[in-house]
Amino acid sequence: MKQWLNRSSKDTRWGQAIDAVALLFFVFFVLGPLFFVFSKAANLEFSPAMQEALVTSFGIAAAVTAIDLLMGIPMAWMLARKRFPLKELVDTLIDLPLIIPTSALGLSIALFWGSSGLGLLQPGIAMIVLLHIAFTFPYVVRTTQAAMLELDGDLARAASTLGASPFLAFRTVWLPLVRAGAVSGALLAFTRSLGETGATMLVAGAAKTVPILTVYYKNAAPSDLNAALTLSAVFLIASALIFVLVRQQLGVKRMRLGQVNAQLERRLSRLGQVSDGASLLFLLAIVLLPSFYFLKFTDLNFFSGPSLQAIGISFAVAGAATALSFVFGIPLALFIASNKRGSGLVKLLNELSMIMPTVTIGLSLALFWAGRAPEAVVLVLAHTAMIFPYFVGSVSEVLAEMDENLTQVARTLGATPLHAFRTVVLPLIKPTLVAGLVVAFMRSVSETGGTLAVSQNIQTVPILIVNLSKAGQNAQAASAAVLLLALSIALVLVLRWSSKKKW
Amino acid sequence: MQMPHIQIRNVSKYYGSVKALHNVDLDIEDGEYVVLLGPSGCGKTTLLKIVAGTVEPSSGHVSLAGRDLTRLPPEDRGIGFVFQNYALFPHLSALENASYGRLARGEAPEKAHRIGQEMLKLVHLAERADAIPKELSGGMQQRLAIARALATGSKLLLLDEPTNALDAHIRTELREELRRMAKQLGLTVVHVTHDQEEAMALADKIVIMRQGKILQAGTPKEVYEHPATPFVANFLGEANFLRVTFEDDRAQLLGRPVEARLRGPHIACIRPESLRLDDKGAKIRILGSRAFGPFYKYDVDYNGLSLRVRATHDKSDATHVSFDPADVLYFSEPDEGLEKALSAV
Repeated sequence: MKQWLNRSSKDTRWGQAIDAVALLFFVFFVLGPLFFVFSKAANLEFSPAMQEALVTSFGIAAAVTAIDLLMGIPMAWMLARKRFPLKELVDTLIDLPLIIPTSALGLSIALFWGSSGLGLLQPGIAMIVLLHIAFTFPYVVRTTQAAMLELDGDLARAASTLGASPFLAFRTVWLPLVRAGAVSGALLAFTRSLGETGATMLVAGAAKTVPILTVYYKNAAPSDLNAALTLSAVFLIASALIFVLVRQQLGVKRMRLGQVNAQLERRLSRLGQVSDGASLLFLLAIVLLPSFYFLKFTDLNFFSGPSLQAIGISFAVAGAATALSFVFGIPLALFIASNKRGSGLVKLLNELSMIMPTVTIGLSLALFWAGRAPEAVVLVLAHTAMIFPYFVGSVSEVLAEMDENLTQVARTLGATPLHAFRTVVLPLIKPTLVAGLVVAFMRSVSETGGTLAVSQNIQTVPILIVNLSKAGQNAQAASAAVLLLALSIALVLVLRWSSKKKW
Repeated sequence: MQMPHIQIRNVSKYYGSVKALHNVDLDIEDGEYVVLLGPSGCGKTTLLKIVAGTVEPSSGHVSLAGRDLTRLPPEDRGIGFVFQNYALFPHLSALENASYGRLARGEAPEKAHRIGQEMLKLVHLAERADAIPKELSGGMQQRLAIARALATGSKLLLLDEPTNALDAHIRTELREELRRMAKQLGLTVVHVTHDQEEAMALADKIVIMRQGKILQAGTPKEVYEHPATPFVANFLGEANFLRVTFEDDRAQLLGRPVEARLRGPHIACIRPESLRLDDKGAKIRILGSRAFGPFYKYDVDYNGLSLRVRATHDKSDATHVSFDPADVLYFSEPDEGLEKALSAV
């Protein structure tokens, strides 16, 4: 129980007022708009095309997650527990695909594997899988690596003093104990793969995933709106079910060892270097090179008026949405971490908001805000609804893990709840806050699918990239992506630098 | 089973420019209970881990029964190691923890589990075979860690501060249990601790370390009664240090003459229990006292010097302090100064 969070706001009426404002914001600007779509769903009809799209989407997500785990766990193991030259560099490279706007990533993957590059693949399911691996691989590696770093290294040393070969120690000690971390990364990868819209459109060819079919229904004819809504509803329910079921399986499980083939495991231990090499090769050839292939097509002559204008719009929208998330997200994160009545429900709703496919979000937001506000405002609110749950999720997790004695000490020393929060809690969660803001900002800047659904006249950079690449103007599209990428990196560096200064 | 006779020769360990161990030599006999004692950061745990193989020495050799172990990975050494926080496998039952070593070496599950069960019986955990570590008390966890290490069949047991995480009461109980088990099974034990009382209670041989070096090794009685340096005297129990200057083999100490074949300035060391509070000897003033039950401790002032005195009876009325010159140890003045010579780092 996080008593300190309870007290720090319960003591005052101010605390309750802050809770109320945060909850109202969450309900009216995040949950309401997100789930509005389902109030519009009239007669639900489920066509064979929808069925096929569901199978395609879940099949792709399953394949992507399986490959991520297969290649990601050895990669995480290598990064967490071994020393090798250029380790720092490899560690940094893993995150890079995440900072590329997804539409640019889609373009890049299409160019790399398609006829403009290696010429190995046509747009289709295989290409979608490769695209999704590029932006989900980092999640699996990072969460698994974090779990491995948290694990007491003495456990593996204990196994080896007891005679276990490195492979046996990995199989019987490491793997069971980092399972929760790997599974939560896999879950993130799975839901991201299910929901991704913008980039997938660029590599899908004739294949139809659920988000693509939804976009198609929405654009094809107003009469098909109902079909889009039906599909979204079924898709969301199926995703939520998987999400909740898998979440219940987390945590350390008892295990039985059974017979151990010591000789075989010993021989497998010698394959460690082969596996390390394979991981590095995979990272390079499947994740990094394809992701950055678009750089080859950039042409400085194309840094034109439209792309500069789009960048201005993207940054303004992202800035506003991030600011809103920050202001209203911190109180909500505090509420979730406080274990007050209702905080569990709010936490679950917040998590469900995260697994919603962005195109469904866009559709819902477009319907919710239609005619009620200017397009620019709708765009900001739509992006807020999309990034807010991620920010709240990461901040509330850190708050829940924090040592409550620290604030209690501050209060015994005479600090008021607000003062204790400002001088003790805030400095401690600052790294997470900064990281959360950076992630929120980057997500907003690169968001494609949802923006496609709400934007009419205003073009953000990802929309511009989609339009240009659909028109076959790859060089212009790549140049816009490079410009966005460069500015985003600059911004991240400035934020990192400023966050290192003393509070 | 080979007989452990451990030879540590000229072992050094550097972490970057920090030296954790400096040219350490140590012999451990078969069946001996050796305690490595020293303040934190003295290198005792590093030395233990070098014997276990989880840390590689920067230079030097370790051999077991004549076989050089230095380049052997830990899984091939056949050594039982008990980690400071036990490092029990949290996802395995007590029985599977205890059987792990046998299973890892390819033993059939039935046989491995039978030996695991025997070991659990040995440490009085047979009834908790199905419990996972989280469900066991601290003392039980420690006993399980020992059972797991012994189940491999190793006659050499390495213990890294094994009683650290336990309540004072259970700690004393487990100490007795440990020594009885070691002697009963004929084990060779290397036990690391910073607790001098634990060292005195357990060891056949105490090895006192400081700053990556071995200062002295000997039986508890030897190192207590004949400490090699002021640090050893101070670390094993309490000591009063007083400056004296010898001329013609004579000096003045606490208001009386003492004799020794020494010249010039020295440090005299008197244990608190060697000082007698009375109405004879040097005039003192009692500053404070505490009753500990079996004994009393006093802080007294002698000419502006503060002394620690221990007595078996209440001496609150005493006005003087005296001592037997035979109980005094003399050290030459350390180059680095007394205060630095006594500090841990």
